[in-house]
Amino acid sequence: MKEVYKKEDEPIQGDKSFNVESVVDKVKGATSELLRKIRRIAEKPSITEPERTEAASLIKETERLEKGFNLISEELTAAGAEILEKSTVNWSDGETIKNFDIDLKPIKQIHSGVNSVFLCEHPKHGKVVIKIPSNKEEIDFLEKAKKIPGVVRMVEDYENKKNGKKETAILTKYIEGANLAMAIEKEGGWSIDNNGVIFRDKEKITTKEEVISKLRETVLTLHKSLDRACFDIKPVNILLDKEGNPYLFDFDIQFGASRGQELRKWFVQTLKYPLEFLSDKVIVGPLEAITGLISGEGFQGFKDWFSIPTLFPGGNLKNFREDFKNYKKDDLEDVENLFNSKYRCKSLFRFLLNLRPSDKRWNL
Amino acid sequence: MDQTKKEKLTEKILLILNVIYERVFLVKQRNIENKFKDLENKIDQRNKK
Repeated sequence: MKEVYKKEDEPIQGDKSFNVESVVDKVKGATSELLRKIRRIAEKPSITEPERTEAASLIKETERLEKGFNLISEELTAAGAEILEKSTVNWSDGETIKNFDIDLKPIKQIHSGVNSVFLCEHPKHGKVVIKIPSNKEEIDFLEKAKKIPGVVRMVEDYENKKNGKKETAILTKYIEGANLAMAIEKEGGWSIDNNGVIFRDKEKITTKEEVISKLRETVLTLHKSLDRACFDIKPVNILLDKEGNPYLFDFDIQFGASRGQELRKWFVQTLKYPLEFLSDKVIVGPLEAITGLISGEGFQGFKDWFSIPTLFPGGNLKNFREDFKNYKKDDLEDVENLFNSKYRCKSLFRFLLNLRPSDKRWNL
Repeated sequence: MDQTKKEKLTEKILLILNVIYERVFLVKQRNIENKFKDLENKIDQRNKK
Protein backbone atom coordinates (compact mmCIF):
# COMPACT_ATOMS: atom_id res chain seq x y z
CA MET A 1 0.00 0.00 0.00
CA LYS A 2 1.24 3.44 -0.81
CA GLU A 3 2.51 5.35 2.22
CA VAL A 4 0.44 8.48 2.45
CA TYR A 5 1.40 10.05 5.72
CA LYS A 6 4.64 11.88 6.11
CA LYS A 7 6.98 12.30 9.01
CA GLU A 8 6.45 15.37 11.12
CA ASP A 9 8.08 18.57 9.87
CA GLU A 10 8.28 17.22 6.37
CA PRO A 11 6.01 19.08 3.98
CA ILE A 12 2.91 17.00 3.40
CA GLN A 13 2.44 18.19 -0.15
CA GLY A 14 5.58 19.23 -1.91
CA ASP A 15 3.75 20.28 -5.04
CA LYS A 16 2.66 23.86 -4.48
CA SER A 17 0.32 23.75 -7.47
CA PHE A 18 -1.69 21.07 -5.69
CA ASN A 19 -4.79 22.67 -4.19
CA VAL A 20 -8.44 21.88 -3.56
CA GLU A 21 -9.57 23.54 -6.82
CA SER A 22 -7.01 21.61 -8.88
CA VAL A 23 -8.24 18.27 -7.49
CA VAL A 24 -11.87 19.24 -8.06
CA ASP A 25 -10.96 20.26 -11.64
CA LYS A 26 -9.13 16.97 -12.14
CA VAL A 27 -12.22 15.09 -10.97
CA LYS A 28 -14.47 17.17 -13.21
CA GLY A 29 -12.19 16.54 -16.19
CA ALA A 30 -12.06 12.81 -15.58
CA THR A 31 -15.82 12.41 -15.09
CA SER A 32 -16.64 14.62 -18.11
CA GLU A 33 -14.42 12.47 -20.29
CA LEU A 34 -16.00 9.31 -18.96
CA LEU A 35 -19.52 10.69 -19.44
CA ARG A 36 -18.68 11.74 -22.99
CA LYS A 37 -17.54 8.20 -23.86
CA ILE A 38 -20.56 6.55 -22.27
CA ARG A 39 -23.03 8.98 -23.91
CA ARG A 40 -21.40 8.39 -27.30
CA ILE A 41 -22.21 4.69 -26.99
CA ALA A 42 -25.67 5.29 -25.52
CA GLU A 43 -26.62 7.42 -28.52
CA LYS A 44 -25.65 4.80 -31.10
CA PRO A 45 -28.73 3.75 -33.09
CA SER A 46 -27.56 0.12 -33.15
CA ILE A 47 -27.59 -0.26 -29.37
CA THR A 48 -30.14 -2.64 -27.83
CA GLU A 49 -32.50 -1.61 -25.07
CA PRO A 50 -30.73 -3.55 -22.27
CA GLU A 51 -27.42 -2.03 -23.40
CA ARG A 52 -28.95 1.43 -23.35
CA THR A 53 -30.19 0.79 -19.79
CA GLU A 54 -26.69 -0.33 -18.78
CA ALA A 55 -25.16 2.81 -20.28
CA ALA A 56 -27.73 4.98 -18.51
CA SER A 57 -26.84 3.31 -15.23
CA LEU A 58 -23.13 4.01 -15.84
CA ILE A 59 -23.93 7.66 -16.57
CA LYS A 60 -25.84 7.90 -13.31
CA GLU A 61 -23.00 6.23 -11.40
CA THR A 62 -20.44 8.64 -12.86
CA GLU A 63 -22.56 11.70 -12.10
CA ARG A 64 -23.05 10.47 -8.53
CA LEU A 65 -19.31 9.94 -8.14
CA GLU A 66 -18.57 13.51 -9.19
CA LYS A 67 -21.32 14.88 -6.96
CA GLY A 68 -20.04 12.84 -4.01
CA PHE A 69 -16.49 14.04 -4.46
CA ASN A 70 -17.59 17.67 -4.73
CA LEU A 71 -19.55 17.28 -1.52
CA ILE A 72 -16.48 15.87 0.18
CA SER A 73 -14.27 18.75 -0.91
CA GLU A 74 -16.89 21.29 0.23
CA GLU A 75 -17.30 19.66 3.62
CA LEU A 76 -13.57 19.32 4.06
CA THR A 77 -13.00 23.00 3.32
CA ALA A 78 -15.87 23.91 5.66
CA ALA A 79 -14.42 21.76 8.47
CA GLY A 80 -11.07 23.52 8.00
CA ALA A 81 -12.71 26.95 8.06
CA GLU A 82 -14.57 26.01 11.24
CA ILE A 83 -11.35 25.00 12.95
CA LEU A 84 -9.67 28.23 11.87
CA GLU A 85 -12.57 30.29 13.16
CA LYS A 86 -12.66 28.58 16.55
CA SER A 87 -8.92 28.74 16.94
CA THR A 88 -9.00 32.51 16.90
CA VAL A 89 -10.00 32.32 20.57
CA ASN A 90 -6.74 32.80 22.36
CA TRP A 91 -6.70 30.76 25.51
CA SER A 92 -3.00 30.26 25.91
CA ASP A 93 -2.42 33.28 28.15
CA GLY A 94 -5.80 33.28 29.85
CA GLU A 95 -6.77 36.55 28.16
CA THR A 96 -10.11 35.18 27.02
CA ILE A 97 -11.04 34.31 30.57
CA LYS A 98 -10.22 37.83 31.71
CA ASN A 99 -12.77 39.02 29.20
CA PHE A 100 -15.51 37.19 31.07
CA ASP A 101 -17.45 39.34 33.51
CA ILE A 102 -16.91 36.75 36.18
CA ASP A 103 -14.32 36.71 38.87
CA LEU A 104 -12.09 33.91 37.63
CA LYS A 105 -8.36 33.70 38.08
CA PRO A 106 -6.79 31.66 35.27
CA ILE A 107 -4.25 29.10 36.50
CA LYS A 108 -3.26 27.04 33.49
CA GLN A 109 -4.50 25.56 30.25
CA ILE A 110 -5.17 21.89 30.78
CA HIS A 111 -6.39 20.85 27.37
CA SER A 112 -5.87 22.34 23.97
CA GLY A 113 -7.73 21.68 20.79
CA VAL A 114 -10.83 23.01 19.12
CA ASN A 115 -12.42 23.39 22.54
CA SER A 116 -9.72 24.49 24.94
CA VAL A 117 -10.12 23.96 28.62
CA PHE A 118 -8.69 26.16 31.34
CA LEU A 119 -8.16 25.60 35.04
CA CYS A 120 -9.23 28.62 37.12
CA GLU A 121 -9.73 29.74 40.65
CA HIS A 122 -13.35 30.67 41.40
CA PRO A 123 -14.15 32.78 44.50
CA LYS A 124 -17.06 30.51 45.50
CA HIS A 125 -16.30 27.09 44.00
CA GLY A 126 -12.50 27.01 44.33
CA LYS A 127 -10.66 25.29 41.52
CA VAL A 128 -12.92 24.93 38.49
CA VAL A 129 -12.45 24.02 34.89
CA ILE A 130 -13.87 26.42 32.31
CA LYS A 131 -14.75 25.39 28.82
CA ILE A 132 -16.66 27.00 25.99
CA PRO A 133 -18.89 24.22 24.64
CA SER A 134 -19.47 23.67 20.94
CA ASN A 135 -23.19 23.47 21.57
CA LYS A 136 -25.66 24.18 24.31
CA GLU A 137 -26.73 20.55 24.42
CA GLU A 138 -23.70 19.80 26.54
CA ILE A 139 -25.02 22.15 29.24
CA ASP A 140 -28.41 20.41 29.26
CA PHE A 141 -26.67 17.08 29.42
CA LEU A 142 -24.43 18.06 32.34
CA GLU A 143 -27.41 19.55 34.17
CA LYS A 144 -29.28 16.25 33.89
CA ALA A 145 -26.20 14.19 34.72
CA LYS A 146 -25.40 16.12 37.92
CA LYS A 147 -26.48 13.28 40.17
CA ILE A 148 -24.87 10.48 38.19
CA PRO A 149 -21.70 9.24 39.86
CA GLY A 150 -18.68 9.23 37.60
CA VAL A 151 -19.69 12.26 35.52
CA VAL A 152 -17.70 15.43 36.08
CA ARG A 153 -20.07 17.76 37.91
CA MET A 154 -21.07 21.05 36.37
CA VAL A 155 -21.00 23.75 39.03
CA GLU A 156 -22.33 26.54 36.87
CA ASP A 157 -23.16 27.44 33.34
CA TYR A 158 -22.51 30.96 32.47
CA GLU A 159 -23.32 33.44 29.74
CA ASN A 160 -20.79 36.14 29.19
CA LYS A 161 -22.25 39.44 28.08
CA LYS A 162 -19.23 41.63 28.49
CA ASN A 163 -18.20 43.69 25.49
CA GLY A 164 -21.50 42.90 23.83
CA LYS A 165 -20.40 39.31 23.30
CA LYS A 166 -22.63 36.39 24.08
CA GLU A 167 -20.47 33.44 24.90
CA THR A 168 -21.57 30.51 27.00
CA ALA A 169 -19.13 28.75 29.25
CA ILE A 170 -19.32 25.66 31.41
CA LEU A 171 -17.65 25.55 34.79
CA THR A 172 -17.05 22.06 36.09
CA LYS A 173 -15.55 20.72 39.26
CA TYR A 174 -11.80 20.24 38.97
CA ILE A 175 -10.71 16.66 39.45
CA GLU A 176 -7.26 16.77 40.91
CA GLY A 177 -5.33 13.82 39.61
CA ALA A 178 -4.71 12.78 36.03
CA ASN A 179 -6.43 11.49 32.98
CA LEU A 180 -6.13 7.88 32.01
CA ALA A 181 -3.99 8.73 29.00
CA MET A 182 -1.36 10.11 31.38
CA ALA A 183 -1.26 6.81 33.26
CA ILE A 184 -0.96 4.89 30.01
CA GLU A 185 1.77 7.22 28.75
CA LYS A 186 3.45 7.28 32.19
CA GLU A 187 3.24 11.03 32.69
CA GLY A 188 3.05 13.26 35.77
CA GLY A 189 4.03 10.46 38.13
CA TRP A 190 1.17 8.22 36.96
CA SER A 191 1.66 4.82 35.37
CA ILE A 192 0.03 1.48 34.72
CA ASP A 193 1.85 -1.84 34.73
CA ASN A 194 1.27 -4.94 32.60
CA ASN A 195 -1.11 -6.38 35.19
CA GLY A 196 -3.34 -3.34 34.94
CA VAL A 197 -2.29 -1.85 38.29
CA ILE A 198 -2.41 1.96 38.26
CA PHE A 199 0.21 3.83 40.26
CA ARG A 200 0.64 7.44 41.37
CA ASP A 201 4.13 8.33 42.53
CA LYS A 202 4.91 4.58 42.67
CA GLU A 203 2.02 4.02 45.07
CA LYS A 204 -0.71 1.58 44.00
CA ILE A 205 -3.93 3.55 43.53
CA THR A 206 -6.35 1.33 41.67
CA THR A 207 -6.56 -1.26 38.92
CA LYS A 208 -7.73 -1.25 35.35
CA GLU A 209 -10.56 -3.61 36.30
CA GLU A 210 -11.81 -1.26 39.04
CA VAL A 211 -11.69 1.70 36.67
CA ILE A 212 -13.54 -0.21 33.96
CA SER A 213 -16.14 -1.51 36.39
CA LYS A 214 -16.93 2.00 37.68
CA LEU A 215 -16.95 3.45 34.18
CA ARG A 216 -19.29 0.75 33.03
CA GLU A 217 -21.77 1.67 35.75
CA THR A 218 -21.61 5.34 34.75
CA VAL A 219 -22.02 4.67 31.07
CA LEU A 220 -24.86 2.21 31.56
CA THR A 221 -26.63 4.70 33.86
CA LEU A 222 -26.28 7.41 31.21
CA HIS A 223 -27.68 5.03 28.62
CA LYS A 224 -30.56 3.89 30.79
CA SER A 225 -31.59 6.98 32.73
CA LEU A 226 -30.72 9.72 30.28
CA ASP A 227 -30.93 7.80 27.02
CA ARG A 228 -27.57 9.23 26.03
CA ALA A 229 -24.48 7.83 24.37
CA CYS A 230 -21.27 9.61 25.33
CA PHE A 231 -19.68 9.14 21.91
CA ASP A 232 -16.34 10.22 23.20
CA ILE A 233 -15.04 7.70 25.72
CA LYS A 234 -11.30 7.55 25.46
CA PRO A 235 -8.41 7.67 27.92
CA VAL A 236 -7.91 11.43 27.63
CA ASN A 237 -11.55 12.04 28.58
CA ILE A 238 -11.43 9.74 31.60
CA LEU A 239 -10.20 11.65 34.61
CA LEU A 240 -8.82 9.88 37.66
CA ASP A 241 -8.93 11.55 41.05
CA LYS A 242 -6.19 11.00 43.61
CA GLU A 243 -7.90 7.80 44.77
CA GLY A 244 -8.18 6.51 41.22
CA ASN A 245 -11.94 7.01 40.85
CA PRO A 246 -12.80 7.62 37.20
CA TYR A 247 -14.88 10.54 35.95
CA LEU A 248 -16.13 11.03 32.44
CA PHE A 249 -15.42 14.39 30.96
CA ASP A 250 -16.19 16.19 27.68
CA PHE A 251 -19.68 15.58 26.40
CA ASP A 252 -19.52 17.74 23.34
CA ILE A 253 -20.94 15.12 21.08
CA GLN A 254 -23.24 13.00 23.21
CA PHE A 255 -26.43 11.95 21.49
CA GLY A 256 -29.68 10.37 22.41
CA ALA A 257 -30.76 6.92 21.48
CA SER A 258 -34.10 8.43 20.54
CA ARG A 259 -32.54 9.15 17.21
CA GLY A 260 -32.98 5.43 16.83
CA GLN A 261 -31.78 3.76 13.72
CA GLU A 262 -30.13 6.90 12.49
CA LEU A 263 -27.47 6.46 15.15
CA ARG A 264 -26.39 3.23 13.59
CA LYS A 265 -25.09 5.13 10.64
CA TRP A 266 -23.16 7.69 12.63
CA PHE A 267 -19.58 7.39 13.57
CA VAL A 268 -17.87 8.85 16.56
CA GLN A 269 -15.14 11.38 16.40
CA THR A 270 -12.03 9.62 17.56
CA LEU A 271 -10.40 6.37 16.68
CA LYS A 272 -9.89 3.60 19.21
CA TYR A 273 -13.12 4.11 21.13
CA PRO A 274 -14.82 1.34 22.89
CA LEU A 275 -18.22 0.64 21.44
CA GLU A 276 -21.31 1.78 23.22
CA PHE A 277 -24.38 -0.34 23.03
CA LEU A 278 -27.47 1.69 23.73
CA SER A 279 -29.66 -1.23 22.90
CA ASP A 280 -29.53 -4.32 20.71
CA LYS A 281 -30.23 -2.19 17.72
CA VAL A 282 -28.37 1.02 18.45
CA ILE A 283 -24.62 0.75 18.41
CA VAL A 284 -22.15 3.55 18.41
CA GLY A 285 -18.99 2.47 16.66
CA PRO A 286 -15.46 3.71 16.17
CA LEU A 287 -14.32 5.90 13.36
CA GLU A 288 -11.82 3.21 12.51
CA ALA A 289 -14.59 1.67 10.49
CA ILE A 290 -14.83 4.67 8.26
CA THR A 291 -11.09 5.10 7.78
CA GLY A 292 -10.94 1.40 6.99
CA LEU A 293 -13.52 1.99 4.33
CA ILE A 294 -11.57 4.80 2.78
CA SER A 295 -8.51 2.61 2.58
CA GLY A 296 -10.65 -0.07 0.98
CA GLU A 297 -9.60 -2.56 3.63
CA GLY A 298 -12.88 -2.67 5.46
CA PHE A 299 -13.21 -2.87 9.17
CA GLN A 300 -9.97 -3.62 10.94
CA GLY A 301 -11.21 -4.48 14.39
CA PHE A 302 -10.38 -2.75 17.63
CA LYS A 303 -7.03 -1.81 18.99
CA ASP A 304 -8.21 0.04 22.01
CA TRP A 305 -6.67 -0.11 25.43
CA PHE A 306 -10.01 -1.41 26.61
CA SER A 307 -11.37 -4.78 25.87
CA ILE A 308 -14.72 -3.88 24.36
CA PRO A 309 -16.77 -6.77 25.70
CA THR A 310 -15.24 -6.10 29.14
CA LEU A 311 -16.31 -2.50 29.22
CA PHE A 312 -19.74 -3.12 27.78
CA PRO A 313 -20.63 -6.74 28.37
CA GLY A 314 -24.13 -6.16 27.02
CA GLY A 315 -22.64 -5.67 23.61
CA ASN A 316 -22.06 -8.35 21.10
CA LEU A 317 -19.09 -7.92 18.85
CA LYS A 318 -20.29 -10.55 16.42
CA ASN A 319 -23.54 -8.68 15.89
CA PHE A 320 -21.68 -5.48 15.24
CA ARG A 321 -19.51 -7.16 12.63
CA GLU A 322 -22.60 -8.50 10.94
CA ASP A 323 -24.14 -5.08 11.15
CA PHE A 324 -21.07 -3.64 9.58
CA LYS A 325 -21.42 -5.95 6.61
CA ASN A 326 -24.86 -4.48 6.15
CA TYR A 327 -23.51 -0.95 6.31
CA LYS A 328 -21.08 -1.78 3.60
CA LYS A 329 -23.61 -3.47 1.44
CA ASP A 330 -26.49 -1.10 1.83
CA ASP A 331 -25.08 2.27 2.67
CA LEU A 332 -21.41 2.66 2.36
CA GLU A 333 -20.57 1.12 -0.96
CA ASP A 334 -21.45 4.29 -2.72
CA VAL A 335 -19.19 7.27 -2.25
CA GLU A 336 -22.11 9.66 -2.22
CA ASN A 337 -23.84 7.65 0.49
CA LEU A 338 -20.66 7.32 2.47
CA PHE A 339 -20.39 11.05 2.82
CA ASN A 340 -23.94 12.21 2.44
CA SER A 341 -24.39 12.88 6.11
CA LYS A 342 -22.93 16.29 6.73
CA TYR A 343 -22.34 15.46 10.35
CA ARG A 344 -20.51 12.26 9.61
CA CYS A 345 -18.42 13.90 6.96
CA LYS A 346 -17.48 16.88 9.10
CA SER A 347 -16.88 14.72 12.11
CA LEU A 348 -14.40 12.62 10.17
CA PHE A 349 -12.63 15.61 8.74
CA ARG A 350 -12.50 17.46 12.04
CA PHE A 351 -10.92 14.37 13.55
CA LEU A 352 -8.39 13.97 10.77
CA LEU A 353 -7.49 17.66 10.77
CA ASN A 354 -6.74 17.54 14.46
CA LEU A 355 -4.28 14.66 14.11
CA ARG A 356 -0.58 15.33 14.26
CA PRO A 357 1.15 14.58 10.94
CA SER A 358 3.28 11.97 12.72
CA ASP A 359 0.23 10.12 14.01
CA LYS A 360 0.22 6.56 12.75
CA ARG A 361 -3.48 6.86 12.08
CA TRP A 362 -2.61 8.89 9.02
CA ASN A 363 -1.51 5.64 7.52
CA LEU A 364 -4.97 5.10 6.21
CA MET B 1 -4.09 31.61 14.45
CA ASP B 2 -0.64 32.22 13.05
CA GLN B 3 0.29 31.69 9.45
CA THR B 4 2.29 28.50 10.07
CA LYS B 5 -0.68 26.85 11.77
CA LYS B 6 -2.92 27.91 8.91
CA GLU B 7 -0.51 26.48 6.36
CA LYS B 8 -0.29 23.20 8.25
CA LEU B 9 -4.08 22.95 8.33
CA THR B 10 -4.22 23.60 4.58
CA GLU B 11 -1.61 20.90 4.04
CA LYS B 12 -3.71 18.47 6.04
CA ILE B 13 -6.82 19.34 4.05
CA LEU B 14 -4.95 18.60 0.85
CA LEU B 15 -3.57 15.38 2.24
CA ILE B 16 -7.05 14.15 3.17
CA LEU B 17 -8.46 15.20 -0.18
CA ASN B 18 -5.63 13.44 -1.94
CA VAL B 19 -6.25 10.24 0.01
CA ILE B 20 -9.94 10.38 -0.85
CA TYR B 21 -9.09 11.13 -4.47
CA GLU B 22 -6.65 8.24 -4.78
CA ARG B 23 -8.38 5.68 -2.61
CA VAL B 24 -12.00 6.39 -3.32
CA PHE B 25 -12.44 8.42 -6.47
CA LEU B 26 -9.83 6.76 -8.71
CA VAL B 27 -10.89 3.28 -7.63
CA LYS B 28 -14.54 3.99 -8.35
CA GLN B 29 -13.68 5.71 -11.62
CA ARG B 30 -11.69 2.64 -12.67
CA ASN B 31 -14.61 0.40 -11.81
CA ILE B 32 -16.95 2.44 -14.00
CA GLU B 33 -14.40 2.46 -16.80
CA ASN B 34 -14.08 -1.31 -16.64
CA LYS B 35 -17.85 -1.70 -16.80
CA PHE B 36 -17.88 0.69 -19.75
CA LYS B 37 -15.22 -1.31 -21.59
CA ASP B 38 -17.19 -4.51 -21.02
CA LEU B 39 -20.27 -2.85 -22.46
CA GLU B 40 -18.29 -1.50 -25.41
CA ASN B 41 -16.84 -4.96 -26.13
CA LYS B 42 -20.24 -6.55 -25.86
CA ILE B 43 -21.64 -4.12 -28.45
CA ASP B 44 -18.65 -4.61 -30.78
CA GLN B 45 -18.92 -8.39 -30.58
CA ARG B 46 -22.60 -8.27 -31.40
CA ASN B 47 -22.05 -5.93 -34.33
CA LYS B 48 -19.35 -8.24 -35.77
CA LYS B 49 -21.72 -11.20 -35.83
